[in-house]
Amino acid sequence: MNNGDKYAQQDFERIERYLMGEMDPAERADFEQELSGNTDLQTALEHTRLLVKGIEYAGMKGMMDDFHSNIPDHSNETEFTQTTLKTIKSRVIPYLVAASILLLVVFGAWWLTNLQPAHEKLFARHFQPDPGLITPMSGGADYQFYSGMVDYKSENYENAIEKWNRVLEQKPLNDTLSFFMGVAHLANNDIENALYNLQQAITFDQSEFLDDAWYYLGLTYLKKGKKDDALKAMKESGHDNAAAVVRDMEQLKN
Amino acid sequence: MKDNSDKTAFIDKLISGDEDSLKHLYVNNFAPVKNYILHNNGTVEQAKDVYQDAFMTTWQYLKTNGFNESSPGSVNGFLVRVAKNKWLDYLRSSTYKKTTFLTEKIMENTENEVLNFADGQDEDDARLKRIHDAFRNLGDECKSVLINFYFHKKSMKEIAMLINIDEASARNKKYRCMQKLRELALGD
Repeated sequence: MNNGDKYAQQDFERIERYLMGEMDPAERADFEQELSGNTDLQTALEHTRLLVKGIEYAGMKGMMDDFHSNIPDHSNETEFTQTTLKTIKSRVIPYLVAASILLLVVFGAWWLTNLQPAHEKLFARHFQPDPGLITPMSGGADYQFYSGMVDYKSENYENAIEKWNRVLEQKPLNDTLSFFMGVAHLANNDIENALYNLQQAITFDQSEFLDDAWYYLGLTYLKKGKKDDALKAMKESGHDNAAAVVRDMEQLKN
Repeated sequence: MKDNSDKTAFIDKLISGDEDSLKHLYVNNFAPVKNYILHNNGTVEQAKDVYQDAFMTTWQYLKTNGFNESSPGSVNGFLVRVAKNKWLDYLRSSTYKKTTFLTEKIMENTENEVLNFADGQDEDDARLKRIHDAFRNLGDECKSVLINFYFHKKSMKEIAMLINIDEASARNKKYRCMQKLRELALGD
C-alpha cells in the first residue's frame, strides 16, 4: 500500500464498529470525544459512512432490478400501442376531417353497433365478480380480511384492496387472498394487478379456488385482448361457465 | 392493537433488508405508479427509474425514521405517493421544458417530512451514484465481500467460508476492498 493508505486496518475497523453501533457505551464515549477534536477522524468517518451507504445502495439496486424482472412485462406492448396511436393520429386525421360527415351519415348505424371490440363485448357478457365468502360477525385474527370481504361484496373494491394489502403486510400470500385480490382488481379495471394476483393464485395447485382462478385469469386476458392466453387459461378451468366462454371465444376467432 | 404491531413487524422486516418483504413491497406497487407516469407524459423506462428512486427513498426513510403508526394507510400507499410526487417534481423541474399547469396535490400532511427527507438525500445522491459506479468496477470477490457484509449483514465467519479463506484473511480482504473503493469513488 502506498501512502494513500492513511488508515490502518485497525483504525478503519474502529470507525466501522462505531458506524454499525457495535461499541459499548464507554468505547463510544471515548470515540466521540476524540472525534470532536480530530478533523482527520471526522473526515474518515464521513467517508466511511458514505461508502457503506453506497454499498447498501448498490446492494439494493441489484435487488430491485431482480424484483423488476418478476413483474409481468407489458412494457413493449404499451409503448407499441402508444407509438401506433400517435402514428394513426398524425396520418389519418387530415383524411378524417374531409370524410367525417360522409362517414357519420353512411356508417353511423354500423359504428354504433360495433362500438365495443368483440373481446370486450365477450368479457362484459361473461364477467360477474365471484360472490365472495361468508363473513362472520365476530372479530378475531382475520378481522381485517373479512372486513375487506364486506367491502368487496358491497362492490367497494378499492377499500377491499386497501384492507387486503394490509393483511398481506402481516401474513404471507395465500390462495384465498391472491384469488380475491385478483378478482377485486379486475372488477376495479386494474388489469395489471389482476393478472399479477391471479397468476399467483394458480400456483396453489391444491387450492379450492384453482378452477375459479384459472377462469378469472382467462377473463382478465380476454379483457386485455390477449385471446390466445385467455383461451389457454379458460381451458384449464373447471368452472361452470368456462366451457361457454371457450365456445364463444372459438367462434370469435372465426 | 394487533393491527399496528403487525404493521410494525412488517416494517422491521423491511428495515432489516428481508428479501421477501422487500420483494412483496416492490412487486405489488409498480403497476399504479407505471400507469400514473404513462398517463402523465412519461415512458416505461422513466417509470422504472422513478419507482426505484422512490423505493430507495422509502427504504432509507424507514431505516432512519421508522413508520409513523398514526399515518393513515399502509407502506404500500406511502411508496406509491412518494413515487408520484417524485414524478411531479421532475415535471416541474427546469429539465422538463414544457409548461404544464399541475394542480394535483397527492401528499397528505404527514408526508411533507418525507419530501424534506428526500430533499436532504439529494446532496448524498450524487456522491452515492459515483460510489455505485466505482463499486461496479471492483472485482467480483470484493463486490461479494462488501455486499454480504454491509448489505446482507452476514458475519465475517460466513463470508470467509463463502470464499474459502480464514476469518482474519477475510477481514483483511474487506479492509483492502474498502480502500480500493475509497480510492476509486472519493479519490482518496
